[in-house]
Amino acid sequence: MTETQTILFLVILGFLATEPWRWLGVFLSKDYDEDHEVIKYVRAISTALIAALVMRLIFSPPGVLSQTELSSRLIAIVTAMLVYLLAKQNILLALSAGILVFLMFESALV
Amino acid sequence: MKKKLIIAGAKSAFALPGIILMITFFAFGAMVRALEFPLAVGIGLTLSTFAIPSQIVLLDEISRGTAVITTMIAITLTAVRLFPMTMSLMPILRTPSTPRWQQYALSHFIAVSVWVQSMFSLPSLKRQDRIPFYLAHCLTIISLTVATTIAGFYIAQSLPPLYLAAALMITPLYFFLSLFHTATRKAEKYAFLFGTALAIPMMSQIPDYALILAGLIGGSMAYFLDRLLNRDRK
Repeated sequence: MTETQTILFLVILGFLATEPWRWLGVFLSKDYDEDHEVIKYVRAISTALIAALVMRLIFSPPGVLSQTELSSRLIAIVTAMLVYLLAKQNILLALSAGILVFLMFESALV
Repeated sequence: MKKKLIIAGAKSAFALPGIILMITFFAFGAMVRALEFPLAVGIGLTLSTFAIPSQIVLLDEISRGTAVITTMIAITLTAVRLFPMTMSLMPILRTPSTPRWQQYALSHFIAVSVWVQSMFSLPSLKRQDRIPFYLAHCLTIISLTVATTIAGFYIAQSLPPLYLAAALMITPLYFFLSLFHTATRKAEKYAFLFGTALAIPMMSQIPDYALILAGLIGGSMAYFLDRLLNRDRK
């Protein structure tokens, strides 16, 4: 494959692996309004799925993140959640605390 | 009136979720460079896919030499989330007169960050105001993420890997916090807990299907538990 073909191939691959799910969501939502029980049920499934995705990003992360320690990633997410709960649901503060702890543990461990 | 809405939607892209996304796509741009893919792959994937975990996994797998078909299956399975997310957002977003083709087009921007943000901000808007606000938000976000993908590609080489890892670490932390923040109903709080708890053992047993099963089982448990508890109260 030429470089242009490779680029197009990867870009289309990404599209084909994701977009049909969005289309299916539009298609199957057509008979329901937002307060329908089916939509509430699907919303609960979405929430559980994203939570599961977060766990996978923590336990088996892609890219350079996979070269960091699992313990640093776990401590970071626990810290972030605790700060969020203790600091009146301040996401920015919780996120900063999580990243800071992550950096501290990674620099200490390496 | 419309103008105000569009400005408000665009502005909302510069709030915390937008800034987080920009950092994430900066890290993605850096990853494109580090794995020796051309910049066009980074920009193209951001535009065509717009789901950062899928984009990262795609390049990661291809660069490790994983077979294309295996990679495709892995991403498709991870991207299943986009289906219930779209299905639950669309009834909030559309008006009774929104044409079907517009709904399909609008769904392209649905990703975790946009979903969480929209679930939070759209319900407080008048129904006819939701699409202009959403579209302005999404178009601003996607422009900014393309810009930061490019910036990451060119700048990140001079950054130590630890900082790039930290930038990638923002994604799970932010998804986790904002998901919990948006989960205002009881059923969603339960779903958050069950999804988290089920994913961990499932990943080691059945890695390919862990996400789907944790989502389906965790979400079902949460929904029916909530119904059961509500029925008892009445």
